[in-house]
Amino acid sequence: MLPPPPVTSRDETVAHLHDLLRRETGGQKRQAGQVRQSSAVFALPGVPVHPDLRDSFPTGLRLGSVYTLSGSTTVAMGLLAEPTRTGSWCAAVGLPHFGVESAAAWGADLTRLVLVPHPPSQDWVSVVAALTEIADLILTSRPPHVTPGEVERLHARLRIRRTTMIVAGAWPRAAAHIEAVTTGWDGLGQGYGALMRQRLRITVTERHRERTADLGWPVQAAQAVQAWPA
Amino acid sequence: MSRMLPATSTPVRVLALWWPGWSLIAAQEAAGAPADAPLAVVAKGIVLACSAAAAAEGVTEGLRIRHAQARCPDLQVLLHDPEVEQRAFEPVLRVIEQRAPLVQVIRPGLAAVRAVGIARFYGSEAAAADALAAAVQEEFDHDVRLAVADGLFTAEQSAYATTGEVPWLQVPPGGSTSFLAGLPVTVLSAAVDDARMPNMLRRMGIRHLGEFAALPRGDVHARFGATGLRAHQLACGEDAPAISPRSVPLDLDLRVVCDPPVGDVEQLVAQCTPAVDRLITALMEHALVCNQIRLTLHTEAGLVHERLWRHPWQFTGAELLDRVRWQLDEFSAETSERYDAVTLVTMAPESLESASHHAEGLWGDRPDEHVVRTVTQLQARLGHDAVLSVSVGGGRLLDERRVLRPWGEAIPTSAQRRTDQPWPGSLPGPAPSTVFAQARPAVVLDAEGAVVRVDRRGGLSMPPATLRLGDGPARRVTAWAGPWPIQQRWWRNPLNVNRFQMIDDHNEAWLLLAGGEHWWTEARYD
Repeated sequence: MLPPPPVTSRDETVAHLHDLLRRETGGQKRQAGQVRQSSAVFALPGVPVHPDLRDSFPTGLRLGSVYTLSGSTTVAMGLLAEPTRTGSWCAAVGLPHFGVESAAAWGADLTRLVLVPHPPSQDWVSVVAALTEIADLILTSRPPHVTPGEVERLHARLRIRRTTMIVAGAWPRAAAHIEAVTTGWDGLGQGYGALMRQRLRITVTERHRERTADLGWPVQAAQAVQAWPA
Repeated sequence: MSRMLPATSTPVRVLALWWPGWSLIAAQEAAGAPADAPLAVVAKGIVLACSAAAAAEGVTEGLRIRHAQARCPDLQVLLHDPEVEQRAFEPVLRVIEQRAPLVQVIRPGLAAVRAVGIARFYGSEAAAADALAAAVQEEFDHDVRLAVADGLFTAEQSAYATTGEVPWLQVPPGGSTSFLAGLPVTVLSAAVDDARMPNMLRRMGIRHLGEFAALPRGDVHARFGATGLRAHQLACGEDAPAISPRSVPLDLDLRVVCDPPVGDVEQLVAQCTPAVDRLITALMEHALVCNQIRLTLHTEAGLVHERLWRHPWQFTGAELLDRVRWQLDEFSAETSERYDAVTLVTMAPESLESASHHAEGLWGDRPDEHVVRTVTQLQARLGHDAVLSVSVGGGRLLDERRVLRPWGEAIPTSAQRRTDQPWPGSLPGPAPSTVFAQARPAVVLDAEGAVVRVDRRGGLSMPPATLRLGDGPARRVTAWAGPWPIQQRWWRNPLNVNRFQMIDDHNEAWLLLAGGEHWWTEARYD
């Protein structure tokens, strides 16, 4: 029997091995033309984001951290889309009104999405913790009351499993805050037309640095009027 | 198909067992109807078989269903179902298989065995037929007819030639041609699976198989092709040199008898565990994959709860036990009275496929073992339908277009989801990211403060000016458009509402449903 290595190094080792495994087996089918970020083991690429959101997240979402999101749900859908397309699993917890078609319109691969619409409030932390086992990105609604101890444990868990969590609401220790404000709508008049396009302003505040980008969604709304893709 | 084996002039000796009116027997047993009732089995509107009571009223086979009902007003119509007949035939086949090996099922109600072996065993063909008939009639009280002849076709035809008084017939070796000569040519239509050729022969004045067999084979072949050649060989008494016995289906059904009855879920699961493990082992041994299972619970009070569970890939033992747990939970939730104990659990695998076909499943690759395990554990903790997978379906209302299924159940195919059909009334532009499962009431007022009314054609009484959701504060409407009519199932449950899009002064966009003076929010664009 070998003596067990010290805890900190074991955690790091586990995280490191897990990450290697994920890269080997996670089926990260990179699209042609998508630049593979640095292949050095420790310069880890973040969770991939949809090309239309690249202006706000040039390096993707940081692995293992918590983002808070206020404002637009559309942006949350967009953030879910790219990881599912590149072979990761994602989860949506506590979002009973999840607009499936909107996620599909962003190009999400719905077969890699797990939905837990009504987690019991006393189980909320354990459900999220269980999902960190498989998901690279977890989108949750505002959680019920969580104690500082639970927050701490969940953070450690997310860090070790390298899972990113996006909370639509407040969270005590978020790494960054995403504010997505709808600045206007195109196409709707007084009694005529139809909503064709949403104009958003996305502000990402991370360590007192702000990055603001404007986005029109859908990007190709200028095309002919057409029904949603089924 | 044995019928497509090449024919030779020395066909195998075959003993055929025939149960007249099997479709009626099977349908009557399945429906639980009394035997002396006027019954008729119907396929495509034509009577296939009818009971003696119905025949006494003048119902005959081949009659149209309406004519039959006119002749016999209290006729009970049973639908022809090959699966039911096959299932009813299964126990009979087992009895035959105990006496004679390698049974071929020609169709439910007609089976064949090689006569040589059993004739040697029982002493003679007649003794063998007697022994089989006695064995079958001991178990089942149905009228059975037997015949021994050269080749399957002749044996089948000679079985039809038996009567109630003479229930067994023997065509001596080499006597096929003379026996068949007197039969009408139409008997060929089932054997060669072509009704047109025998009809053509009849119109050509060739009425009997003897006349047909007398034609030069080359001419028949030239005129009717392979079908004609095959028919000519049969008419000449040539048939396949072997029969193709059925492969005995695996009996994988589980029965777990609980004695004394069990009321506790975990106890029941513990009792089922060894049987489930055996089932999984058997599946592994036979390289089979099971993705549908019918689970039945019988309780002490005589209640039966049955449910079909599906799985997109294949069941594992733990997953099957989870299904037992969930079904028991479901069952105890449904029965409002005191929940009583379970006496019997049966599990019947419904769809078994060879594992080799499942290398790439119908629904894509089975996800990583680790993913499946994690999610099923979560499901076991929160409940079967607390963890969902999603897809987009067809429908007019947005909530219908979200297809939510318990994780691990097969996502319906796109045909079932009807995504490729046009859905009139669907909206242009982006899809709303928040779709309410239940539309929420809203109030829409005009500039005067009166409720905006929508007439049946979707016209508004006044342009909307303020919007109040539930009992929230009033919001000013800055832009709006509509109507997009939704007319759904007007023949059953008329839903006649119109959709409107509105933007309020908070820059939030809403999708509203309106009918009369009632307004609801269906979704939010945000």
